[in-house]
Amino acid sequence: MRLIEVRGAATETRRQRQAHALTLIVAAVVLLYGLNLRQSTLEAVVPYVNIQAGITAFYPQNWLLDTAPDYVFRVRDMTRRGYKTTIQLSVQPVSDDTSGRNIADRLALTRARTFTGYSVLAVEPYPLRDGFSAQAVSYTYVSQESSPFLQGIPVVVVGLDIITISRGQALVITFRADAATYRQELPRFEQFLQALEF
Amino acid sequence: MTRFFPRLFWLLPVCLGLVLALRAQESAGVDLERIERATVYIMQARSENLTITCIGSGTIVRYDGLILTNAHHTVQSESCTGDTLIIAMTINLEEPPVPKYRAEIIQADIGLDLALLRITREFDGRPVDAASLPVLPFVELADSSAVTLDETLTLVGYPAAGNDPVLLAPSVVTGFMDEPGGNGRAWMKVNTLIPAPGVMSGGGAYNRAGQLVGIPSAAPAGVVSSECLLLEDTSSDGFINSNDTCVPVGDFISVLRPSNYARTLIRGAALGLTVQPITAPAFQASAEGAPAFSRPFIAPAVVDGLPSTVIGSAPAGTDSLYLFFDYAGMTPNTVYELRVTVDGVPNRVFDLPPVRWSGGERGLWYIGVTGQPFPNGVYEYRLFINGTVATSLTIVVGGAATVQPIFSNIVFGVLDDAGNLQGNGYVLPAGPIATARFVYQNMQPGIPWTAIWYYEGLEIARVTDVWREDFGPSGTYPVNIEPPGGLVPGRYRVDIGMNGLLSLTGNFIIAGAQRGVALPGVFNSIEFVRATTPREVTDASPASNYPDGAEALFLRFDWELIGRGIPWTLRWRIDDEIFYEQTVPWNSPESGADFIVQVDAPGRLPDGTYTVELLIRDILLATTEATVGIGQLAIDELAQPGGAQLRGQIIDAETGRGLEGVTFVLISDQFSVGDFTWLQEQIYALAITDRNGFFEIDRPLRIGAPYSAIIATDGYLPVAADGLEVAPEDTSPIDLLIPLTRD
Amino acid sequence: MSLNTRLLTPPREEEEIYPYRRVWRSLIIENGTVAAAAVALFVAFGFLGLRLPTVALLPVNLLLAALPAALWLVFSWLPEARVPEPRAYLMRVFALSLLVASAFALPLIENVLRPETWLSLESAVNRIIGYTVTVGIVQETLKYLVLRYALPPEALRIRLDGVAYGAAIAVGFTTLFALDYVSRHPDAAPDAVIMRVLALLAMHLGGSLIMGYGVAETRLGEATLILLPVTLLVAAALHGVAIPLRSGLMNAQLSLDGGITRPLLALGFALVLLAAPQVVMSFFYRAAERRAEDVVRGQE
Repeated sequence: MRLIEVRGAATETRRQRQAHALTLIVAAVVLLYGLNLRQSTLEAVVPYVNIQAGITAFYPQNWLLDTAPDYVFRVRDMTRRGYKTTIQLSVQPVSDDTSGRNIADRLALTRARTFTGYSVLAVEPYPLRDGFSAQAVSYTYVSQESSPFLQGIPVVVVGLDIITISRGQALVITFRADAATYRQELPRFEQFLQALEF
Repeated sequence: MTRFFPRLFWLLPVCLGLVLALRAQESAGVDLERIERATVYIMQARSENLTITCIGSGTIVRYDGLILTNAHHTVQSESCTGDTLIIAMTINLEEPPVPKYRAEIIQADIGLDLALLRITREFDGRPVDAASLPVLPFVELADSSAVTLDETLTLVGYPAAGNDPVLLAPSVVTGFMDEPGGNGRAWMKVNTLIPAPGVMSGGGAYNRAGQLVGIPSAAPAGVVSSECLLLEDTSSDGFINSNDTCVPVGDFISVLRPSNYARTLIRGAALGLTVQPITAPAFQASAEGAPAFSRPFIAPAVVDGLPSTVIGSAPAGTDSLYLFFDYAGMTPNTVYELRVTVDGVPNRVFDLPPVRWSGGERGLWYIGVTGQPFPNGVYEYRLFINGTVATSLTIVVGGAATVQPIFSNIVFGVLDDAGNLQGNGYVLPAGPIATARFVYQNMQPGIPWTAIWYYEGLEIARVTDVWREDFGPSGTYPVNIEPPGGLVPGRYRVDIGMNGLLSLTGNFIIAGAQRGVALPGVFNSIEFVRATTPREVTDASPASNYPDGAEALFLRFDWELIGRGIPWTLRWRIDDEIFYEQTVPWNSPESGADFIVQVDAPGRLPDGTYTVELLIRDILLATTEATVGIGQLAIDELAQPGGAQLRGQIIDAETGRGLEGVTFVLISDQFSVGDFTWLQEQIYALAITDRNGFFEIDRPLRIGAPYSAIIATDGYLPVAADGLEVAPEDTSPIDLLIPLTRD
Repeated sequence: MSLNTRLLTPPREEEEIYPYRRVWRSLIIENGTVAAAAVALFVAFGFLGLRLPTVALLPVNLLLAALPAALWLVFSWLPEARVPEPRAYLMRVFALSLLVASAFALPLIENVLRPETWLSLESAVNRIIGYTVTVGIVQETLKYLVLRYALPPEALRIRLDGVAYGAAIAVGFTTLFALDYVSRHPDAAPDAVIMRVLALLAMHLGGSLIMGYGVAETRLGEATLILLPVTLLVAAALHGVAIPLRSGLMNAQLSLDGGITRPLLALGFALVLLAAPQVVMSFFYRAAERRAEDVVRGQE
């Protein structure tokens, strides 16, 4: 075997430098693509259209969609460990005298009966797109496993209701997440709100 | 109290052994675990400080939290003063129950000692969100009329004041006791291999198929049983002593109330249907005087609620005897008891332990057994009211059957022109005359006999005569009552005696105007109307078909000549199944119009065919029918019993640790994993793991249905499978261990 | 010295004394030991049902996580002192790779990229692409940067220096990620830990050998401009393929009897992943050496 040795090569050739530069560029481009892929996967949405309620929404992909008499629809991230991050949309009839604040108070009174440790954190104006104004009610409560035969540990949940009145009905858009991941999850809700048409 | 604990001391180890033995039943396909989980421990407590006032057992009979139990430890009373019901459930089979929910009484029949509770609140008092309440394990009701003598049953309940796990006590059916309305078995008598403590009262008795056949019922605590437990320092004086509230416990279980009694209660509650008379009573019904029994006599059989005949002795080989007696001043809270001695020795076979009174305030009652051989001897029947002897009777059983003159099988009616008895037998219209016709056998001329007629307990006529030769030895004979001024509405009775002894008795009711010869027009113009409020009912148009549904339906009818206090029955059916039946004294004026009864349900009435029947003395006098929606009840798959329970643990494949908060999605058999697009309607059931990774699918899996499943959670590869099919031979519950792999 | 003063020493082959530590030999010993430990623990814990007391799990798992580093120290780093031409920067590269993995790779993957939160439900192809362009590219770029900037140009004297330094970086990354795994799962079964260590070592070593080849060839050969970026992409793709494939092979099959994982498949895959890149890359290194010899002969 012949030994081919290079000694004292303290500097690089131009080609070598170009190769290194190209490598860094490729790495950066691929990483950017990766981040973009990640973002697009995380933000992938599925359309939901309810002609009767006049609502078009785009909810996160792979979230479980269900409907019930209490709400128009609800989506939950069932793959999340612990409390399942939830977006829910419900409508309530209102009169000419009803304000968003009235709806917020009614919700607080109702939930205080059913949610453990329910507490309103803040009620503040919340601008929606297209010039709609809304009330944002943030609150917290403790969610507990419902099966009596399992040992569920209660989870502190933070919720946000966006209440707006439109075409004679109040629209309550609710977001709930584990308090520990609430801020991390909130952008998804904001994305949902941005795409919501009613 | 002092007697109670020594009993428990030796009882508990024996119980443990029996529990192990009963586990063998599981191999026979009985889902014992499901039964044990469906059995709840009920604590009645005072809401202000949750001091326990009464305890007992109960059984979940429907997935949405309907609990069947006794009334005596749940309904507020002098001995059970609490106003809150706390439901404790078995989480681990070998451990005592854990408080989980609060419940409310939605239906109760104090006399039958049955109550139906519904879980309405979490343990901390918050209302239960119906949508989030899991499908609870429940048991199926059996047809209790199919239970046979010497059949082995398993009694399930909690043996002590929350200190012990659920107990399974094997028992044998030793006899059936009959009472009015009991269809031959108002009570099932059982002999438990180990004494079943009174706390088990309200639990369940199960046949070999694991179906509920009866509700163990102990003597209502505090009335005839003085046993009680001092559980806590309710007086807050630092000591547990006589100043503290003593929680009463009943005596050991020896009778079961057949589960058929509970069907109507459960049916109505399951559908959420509430029947409410809108017409207010004009009079208040109340028991007058102290409760009392009188005029006891024995009959060998019961015909249409009346004694076939009256006997003073019975031949050897007798297997059917009924003790009849009049009662008055009784209330549902009254406890009565029958003790029988044979030649002076107590005989438990023919006893009825202390139970609640399920008859009305006054009338004729009977209690007896049939199909049970009576040994020869002198039988002394002693009836007790609230622990005190009320009346007694002695009869001799033995000797050869002899040919004796007898009167039997009395019926009532009005004779037509041809001399035929017309009518329905026991409810006659107001008119000038009524006839009692009875059968006579082996009569001899010259035998003195009497017929004494009573109206509301008061003698109104008497016929005394001797038997004439031209009547012959056998045949039927009519006796008329034709009081001056005619027969007014009310209760009538005739006692027919022979040789100075009571030989036959019967009663009938005069109600309604005469239609034809003898048919009573009691309830008229019976019809359904749909209205929003009761006020609109009078002017609303009747209909029999409401295809677009209804929030509430109202029954409207007129009535004629019904005497005050006459027991009448209002029975509602949906799709031919009774969901409401109540017999109460008539407390409205004698005649009137627009008696209104409302039926409603939360939201809207379920679709179905609604039928109303109005009865007196079990004789149908009026009926009407209306269809709502599609005219048929929707099928509730969750209410179907059977199937296999699926549960398990989801763990990290590398660490073996249970994973909390992981979702197990069981996809409906209509879809595969490939079809699944995260829509709720594609899902059969969902389960989320607890802190140890355990999960339970709350809906039972149908046998042979090919389900799919997907378990997906952050950080782990999803696990999915199609074709998960439960085979008939698979034992329930099915336990899965599912390891998840990280990337 | 400069490239113009390249010295070619053509001693007679039979008299030649190889002045460097033999890298492939060390690698075979180290990797063979880790593989043997993995198989032994898999048999002992997975098949024979051996169990350790809980208190012993953490120390044992820490030892297992540190096993590649310990073997590298014994069979790679210490022998360098006994050869005429030692690779002076081995320890520096190893230490720096530990630091870089700790400071950049781990936080980036676990706190920013978090592939498990968005890739687990994706298709196999998407998972491979996703892991390649995130976890793979981040780790291999960092390794490249260590090779590029932690070593002075003169440190790469022969192509096999790329293997030696690449192996040091791989061991550094493996050790750091293995320790992180043990810290998060201190009570994991030792067989699971050693299998995790084996898979990490296989992925990182494979990637490092590819990256080392690209850097060495760029430095010493007449490589085209795109060789280095291509090796980076290939190394990243190795992670992209290996991570989903390994977990996919091991993942449970569900039935009403429960879920059954297939750790044997995962072990087999890790062993192949450990051996295959070494075989393939040794071919590439030899081919490169042959090309260089041909060039020298041509110049002569």
